[in-house]
Amino acid sequence: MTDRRDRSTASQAQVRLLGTGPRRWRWLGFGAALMAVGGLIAATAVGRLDDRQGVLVATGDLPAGHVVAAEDLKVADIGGADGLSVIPDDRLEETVGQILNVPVSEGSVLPNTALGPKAAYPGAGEAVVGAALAPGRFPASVRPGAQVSVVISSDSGTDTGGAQDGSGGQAFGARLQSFEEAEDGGVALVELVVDAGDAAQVASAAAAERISVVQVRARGGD
Amino acid sequence: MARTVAVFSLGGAPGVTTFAMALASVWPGKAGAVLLEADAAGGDIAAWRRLPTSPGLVDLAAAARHEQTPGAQALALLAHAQTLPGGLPVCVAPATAERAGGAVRLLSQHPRVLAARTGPAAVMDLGRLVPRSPTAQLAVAADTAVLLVHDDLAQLRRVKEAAAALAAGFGELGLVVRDGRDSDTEIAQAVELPVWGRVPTDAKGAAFVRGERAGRRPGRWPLLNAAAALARRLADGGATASAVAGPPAAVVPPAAPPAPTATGRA
Ligand SMILES: Nc1ncnc2c1ncn2[C@@H]1O[C@H](COP(=O)(O)OP(=O)(O)OP(=O)(O)O)[C@@H](O)[C@H]1O
Ligand SMILES: [Mg+2]
Repeated sequence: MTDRRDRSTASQAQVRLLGTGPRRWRWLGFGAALMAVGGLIAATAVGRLDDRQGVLVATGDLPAGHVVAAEDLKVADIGGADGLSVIPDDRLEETVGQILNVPVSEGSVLPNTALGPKAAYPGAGEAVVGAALAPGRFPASVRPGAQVSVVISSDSGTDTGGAQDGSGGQAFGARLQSFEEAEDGGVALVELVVDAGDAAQVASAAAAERISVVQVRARGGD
Repeated sequence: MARTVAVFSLGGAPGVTTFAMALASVWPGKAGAVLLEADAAGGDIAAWRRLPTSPGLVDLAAAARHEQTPGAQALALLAHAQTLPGGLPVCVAPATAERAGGAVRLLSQHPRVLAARTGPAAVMDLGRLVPRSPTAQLAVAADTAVLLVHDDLAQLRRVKEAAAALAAGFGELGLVVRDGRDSDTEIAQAVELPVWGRVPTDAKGAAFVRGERAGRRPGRWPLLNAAAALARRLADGGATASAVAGPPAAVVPPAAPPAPTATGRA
């Protein structure tokens, strides 16, 4: 809380847990209602724990922007799913072919906010730029969803430097939409969501292999 | 390098389930850790996370009787776990002591399913440890044990009285102290066990673990942060070497394992 920058303990731990999606705030409301109304509703809540429902779960890591295929999904039975942000298994068929707005990791329940029609991705005023990044031009630990800065260097031969956007370099804010490391040589194929106004410049720099990706508001410090 | 970690208390609900879950969720390495809720008094995680109690501890205990090959044993825990959003596999206990106690007893007779040498590490929430109970037998499957204790007189006294017997039963045993103002060194000397870490009261972190609160960077919150520090130490096998040690060997009861040599703070 107090020092955000250099707590390596805090910033580097990968936490394999999600608290709640925004939808699950409903449960908090529900909890508050429980306290207010007392035993009657608590009894209902306890009863609900045994109601099982099939929900959709990812069988592998699915990046944002991914078109969902049948083999990406399995059904898990969970109890008390009413009111949670899940996709019930009766929507399996319509889910196949839709596009993910957010990355979903293997074994995770798909939140019902995860799916959007094509138009929702990218958002209004945003554009998606693809780039192939050489090793050293991106932090190895970067993950889809990360806020990054795209740094354009003046020529392709120079060092890949740091986050400075001062002399000769220019930086654009972006979000890493997808990230895939190619088998050979450590090259990464990325999709960057940038402001539509910056897209042309970023895309041409990407084509000339003059961009580096720097993670900002980093989880991994240096 | 710890592969199976038992987390327990001697009573007083210092947050064993919460800390065990936090510890498992930040376990380093690609395979991470799976959380086994093996509290004979009944589990909380299924209710916190709105999960059914099957697959879970009861199924694992039933399967443990049949799994003969090391390969099948290694897979059993994961096979009876459910995956929480975020990716943490948890094998949950039923809510009642009646059912959970039976499953813990059964599992304690076939603890080999907890000693997998490959795949994810296992973090066990053993709840409150009672001497000579099935829980205590189950604890023996762990190669490292973490005793969570509040920094208060009654609890520390209980720990001190049990220290020698506990230390004899576990390969490696250390304390994690919840809150309190005493220094690690003072506590370690008072109870004659090393202090491996401190866990502060962190309402946000605890709510996050219960699944009631979202967080953009929960790893920065004190609870998860404390868990991550311990997870790294245990996974590296450096728990005793880098912890604040107990008293010098001369005053350690004979039953205790060799006292750690380094006494410096991490
Ligand atoms: N470090 C913490 N900071 C704040 N609240 C906590 C912390 N740890 C646990 N809690 C809260 O205290 C309550 C009891 O915690 P928990 O169930 O983890 O304790 P326990 O030792 O496992 O208890 P039991 O013996 O009943 O199983 C829960 O509501 C939990 O969210
Ligand atoms: Mg508990």
